[in-house]
Amino acid sequence: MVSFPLGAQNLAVAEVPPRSSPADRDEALLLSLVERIRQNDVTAFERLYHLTREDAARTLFHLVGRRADVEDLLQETYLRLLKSVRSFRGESRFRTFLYRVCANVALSHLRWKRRRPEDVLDEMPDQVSPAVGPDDEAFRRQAARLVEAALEGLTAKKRIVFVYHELCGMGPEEIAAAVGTSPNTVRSRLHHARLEFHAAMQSLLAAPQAKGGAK
Amino acid sequence: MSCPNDATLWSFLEGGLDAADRAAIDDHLSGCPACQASLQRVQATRAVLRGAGAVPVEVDWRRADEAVPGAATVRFARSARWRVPVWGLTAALVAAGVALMVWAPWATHPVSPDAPVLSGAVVESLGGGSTLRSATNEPLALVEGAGVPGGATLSTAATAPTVLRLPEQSRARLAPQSSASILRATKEEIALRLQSGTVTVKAAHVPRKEFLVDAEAAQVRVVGTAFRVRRDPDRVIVTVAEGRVLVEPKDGPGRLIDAGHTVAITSDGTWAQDALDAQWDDTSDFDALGVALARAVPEPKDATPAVAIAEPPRRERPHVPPARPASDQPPAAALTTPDIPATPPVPDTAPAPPEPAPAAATASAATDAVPTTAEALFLARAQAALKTGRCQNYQLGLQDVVEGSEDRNAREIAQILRARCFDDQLEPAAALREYRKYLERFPNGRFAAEAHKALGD
Repeated sequence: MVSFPLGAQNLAVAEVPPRSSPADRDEALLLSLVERIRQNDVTAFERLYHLTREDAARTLFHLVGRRADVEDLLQETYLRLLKSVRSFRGESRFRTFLYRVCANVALSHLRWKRRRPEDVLDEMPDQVSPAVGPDDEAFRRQAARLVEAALEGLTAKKRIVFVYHELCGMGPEEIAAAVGTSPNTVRSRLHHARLEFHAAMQSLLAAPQAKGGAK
Repeated sequence: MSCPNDATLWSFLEGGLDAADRAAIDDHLSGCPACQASLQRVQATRAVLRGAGAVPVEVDWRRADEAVPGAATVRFARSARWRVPVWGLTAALVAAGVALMVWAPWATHPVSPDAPVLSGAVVESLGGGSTLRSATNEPLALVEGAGVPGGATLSTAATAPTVLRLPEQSRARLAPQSSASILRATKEEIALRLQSGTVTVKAAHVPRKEFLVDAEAAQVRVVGTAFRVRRDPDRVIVTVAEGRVLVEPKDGPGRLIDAGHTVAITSDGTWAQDALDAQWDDTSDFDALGVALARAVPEPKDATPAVAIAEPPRRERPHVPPARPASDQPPAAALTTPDIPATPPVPDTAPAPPEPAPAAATASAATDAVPTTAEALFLARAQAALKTGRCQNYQLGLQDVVEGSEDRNAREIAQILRARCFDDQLEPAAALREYRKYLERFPNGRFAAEAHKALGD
């Protein structure tokens, strides 16, 4: 047995097999929770939520941006997950399955929002300050707004592929599993998404300078 | 080679090209100022992207952690009903509200699947011969002052009890020859499972979300009290010394049991008619916990679960636009909403719309009523959220209740709450749609007047 200090001091934790990677342990734990959820164990669902909620929130935020409350999207994601998890048979890693649910939620939201466009440029920073570096908090926040604005021009499907690859670090195969398409389709969407995103970003980066030059 | 496009330069920077392509682009770049400039622009785009990826996501976890389990509880409860468990232990736990608990931050700890729950229970006094086994049935050391792991089962020997101190300062005394598992023990939630014997509890008078003792044939839910649960092979006996508990047989409606009363539930989940006065002969367990005894006429009070829905939030102005004759628009005073009277849920088996009028609602029906089913608890929370402007988190769950609940009263309340919530969220079109749905489903419902008014009928 392994015991942990602090608040977990009373948790009984069985030893994990040697040489298993953290990712494998994570997957094994999630799969065991899925099995318990199938048996209607709400405590398993709670644990699964807590183990994955930050991952899901980050993914949803990148997919949808600030246009929606992440909290609302999380609720929808986990309700969908709860509904579909019973049919999950381990065809992919569980987190990939979760990303797929996130993608579906985001897709619905993005399509809905496309009918109600909002001008995210209202809150655009004037420009990315050259005085700060990539490690600077202000730079990062400015960058986040620019990225969000640049993503607006992408279709929902391209946006999802682009975000999963560029911001979530997923490879084409995993993305393909998450969005239910082929890796080649993912590569194609990613190629076009990069071109469109880059063009949009260059426009955004140039706009403040042009505005300043006109003054 | 010809000038590469920006996507190729992106792949070049990412390291996604093979060696030959990379070398070719290297060659080309060295002699092409235009492509060098393009490369710098792609680098700038990627730098912004990396910066954005490093921004921490701001989430109101308190809000999320309230909304997600609330909605999930309803789903679980319905799923549990579909399974129709004979003993329904897990399902009952779910339906009864275990999911309404605080969501402890387990995720930060590398726990195994065999450590299902968090426990802050500590052994206060240890009876000789007591044993402790983990959730995986491994023997654990048991000493006074030590914690009891989550999921562990404590068993006492024939001669001495063991007392646990729970995180919110409640105390649980496990009588000799008894066995109980700590399903969860946090400051906000206590859940014990009595396998055999007797557990006596003095619950601390602190706010918490749940205090549950599960004895399979029945569950005992603390309202703020001291009580004893004894599990015999053929029945469960609940004796209340102080305050009040809610006793729920595994398949039937719950009853609130006041101090001084004793009730029994047979192993098949029905109320027993046993003579139970003997349960008061020995109250040393209560004495040991410092409980002042009360004794009353042993007739349990029937407290069929009910949803007490209070008055909806009053608004200074109607959100739904006023009506014009021969149009869909309601009058300006459309949303002067009356109270929602509390009414016990009415089980029904005929959900075909439009639904029949509910049983007459009486104000007194809610006097002692507390929400007990998961749906009732969820609806109560949704109602509370409406008051605080957070009802949107409950809309999905409310829809679930509307579409799938077996309880007509719950469906009706969920439907009207959906309408009110949309109205509260300044979505008049959606609010009107929900009011129409209400009238379609409950043409003679308790809130029909409110719906008609909102719709300008």
